[in-house]
Amino acid sequence: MRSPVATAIAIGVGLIVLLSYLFPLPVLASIRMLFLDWAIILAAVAGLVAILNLFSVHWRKIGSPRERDYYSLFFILGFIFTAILGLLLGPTDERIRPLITSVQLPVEASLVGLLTITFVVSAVRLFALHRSWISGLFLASTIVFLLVGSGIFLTNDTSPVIKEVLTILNILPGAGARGILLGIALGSLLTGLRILLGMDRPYSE
Amino acid sequence: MSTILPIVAFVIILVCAGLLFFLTLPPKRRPRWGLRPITAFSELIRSLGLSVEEGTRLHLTLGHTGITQPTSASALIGLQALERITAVSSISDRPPLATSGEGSLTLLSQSTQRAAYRLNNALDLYDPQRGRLTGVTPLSYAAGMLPIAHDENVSVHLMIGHYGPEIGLLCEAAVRNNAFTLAASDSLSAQAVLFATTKQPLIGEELFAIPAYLQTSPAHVASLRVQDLLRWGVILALVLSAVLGVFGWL
Amino acid sequence: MTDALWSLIAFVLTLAVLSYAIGDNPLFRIAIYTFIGISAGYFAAILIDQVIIPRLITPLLSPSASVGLMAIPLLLSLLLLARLSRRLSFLGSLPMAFLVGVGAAVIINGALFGTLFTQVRAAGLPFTPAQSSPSGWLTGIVLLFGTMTTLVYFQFTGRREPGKGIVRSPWVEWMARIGQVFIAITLGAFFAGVILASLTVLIGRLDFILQSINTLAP
Repeated sequence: MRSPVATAIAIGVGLIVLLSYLFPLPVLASIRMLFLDWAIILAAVAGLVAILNLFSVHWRKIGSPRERDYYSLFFILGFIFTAILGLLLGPTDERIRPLITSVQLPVEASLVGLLTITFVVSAVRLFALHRSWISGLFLASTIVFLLVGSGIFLTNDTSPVIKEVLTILNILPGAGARGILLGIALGSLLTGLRILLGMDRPYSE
Repeated sequence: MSTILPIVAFVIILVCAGLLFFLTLPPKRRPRWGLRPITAFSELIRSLGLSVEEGTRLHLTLGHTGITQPTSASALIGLQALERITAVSSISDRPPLATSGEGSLTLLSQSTQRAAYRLNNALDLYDPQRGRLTGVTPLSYAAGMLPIAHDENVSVHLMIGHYGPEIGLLCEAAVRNNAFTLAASDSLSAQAVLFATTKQPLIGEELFAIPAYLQTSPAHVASLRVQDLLRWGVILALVLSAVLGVFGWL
Repeated sequence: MTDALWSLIAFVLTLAVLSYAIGDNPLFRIAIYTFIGISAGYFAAILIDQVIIPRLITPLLSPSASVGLMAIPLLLSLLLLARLSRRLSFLGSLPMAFLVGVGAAVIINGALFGTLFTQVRAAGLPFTPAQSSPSGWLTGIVLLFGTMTTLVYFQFTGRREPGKGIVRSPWVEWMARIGQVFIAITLGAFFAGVILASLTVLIGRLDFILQSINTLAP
């Protein structure tokens, strides 16, 4: 067996936490709280390790003749500047706020704006990707719900028939969404179980 | 929480575990059932072969959910796919690249790749930087994958995990670079975007079929079989719920 | 003056990112690399300042804390840090196993109590006497039928038929076809929602560009 100690830890910890959800005994609940608290710490340390790994990827890209990427310099400068400032002043300090409001937020909003263009272009070329009746229905549904979402039917003189049609129309996505979500829950349940049974061991090296 | 629900949950878990064990055992004769063909998987297997032959890069991205979140099941499936793909392409000129938007996922992607290299007796070829964090927020994670799509000669993008509509940025970059894309997510808005932007989207729970169709292990095929059995249980429960509702017992 | 400088930076970054619509270009690259660096640096500071110090370091240094208990996450954290070394990285598998174990339990709990039980119960609610009306029943029946056919669509296994491969029974295929209709409508509706949400943000950005030009232009 690969990594028997790690497998035992994953199964043991997982079973204890799962049992604490199923049988709300105080002793199990307090162990769960402790484990979840430790998990938060470990996830944070894992986050730091991964960020340092990201830093080393960009550092290597500046130095490596094979994969040279001068743009990585902007990453390094941005990272060092913000990390030092964040650690010295504290991440909630007012003097750091402009970095968020004038760099992070505008870039994120612009990326979302870019997505709009991507989505519209994708909708136009949908039939080139999938030539099927399902694509036609998907596109028709998109157009109908774009119109519904835009609010053009929500006027005072909208007829009761249209209102009734809109009510029924709004039910249809709910049915599909519920079916998809239930299916995903079944898949998730079995994925979790495979970990607890030691069948999947993504942590083993 | 109703007192009966934890007991029902416990029974479901026990039954599922039992079925998983039983169906994983090697059958005495060829089973009369099998997995229905899904075009996306045959296309994926063909593209994987082409990628290894042509020496182009394969990129798998795992999303940005934390491993202790309820949505991390999709990322665990991504890790299974990564293990299989690394095993078949580890000796290629350009080994696969795994990206994610969360620290613990990044470390798990490195572990998974390392294990695959070790099993192939090629541990000296393993490079931890082939498992990377690309950004720490959903949009920086998506933006961080764009240089990979444009610069790393990627011919196959696999997007298997939990992410939102921002994945559309990578899908568009893949289209611009004529790369094959297979994508699956547990998020409904991401699935909608993937349907519109990729040639081979996997819808809903097809995500959980990936390891079985990639023939990762008998346990994954058994898992899919149990999932199908549970499906009919849920359908029965839905009808029962409606009947209970009619009688006002819900 | 400082405010104007930050506004100028936001304006330039907005244009740089939107320029990607034409194609990949150096301005876009500079903008996103800087953005990823800044967000990573900020996130690292938050992790240290708001998680690692208050939850791990402070309890360890505090005389009243149960130091023995905190030794375990400290040890696991140190093992995780070993991932930075190529030679010792295997030690990191123990804390990762801990995280995966907790995650597996959370996944199972979420799937059963968060989705399965709540959605199954919700499917019966439109039929309850409290909500009984012709439209309530119609809603319930459509939802129930749509949910069932959607679930059937995903059925992966089928019978092995000589010469035909794996096939599902005709009535499963029939229900799956109807399920496909519901899936297409659902995904279309979600796609419309995503487009509307992103369009609102795009309009906000274009408005910001126009306002900035008005402010910055002499």
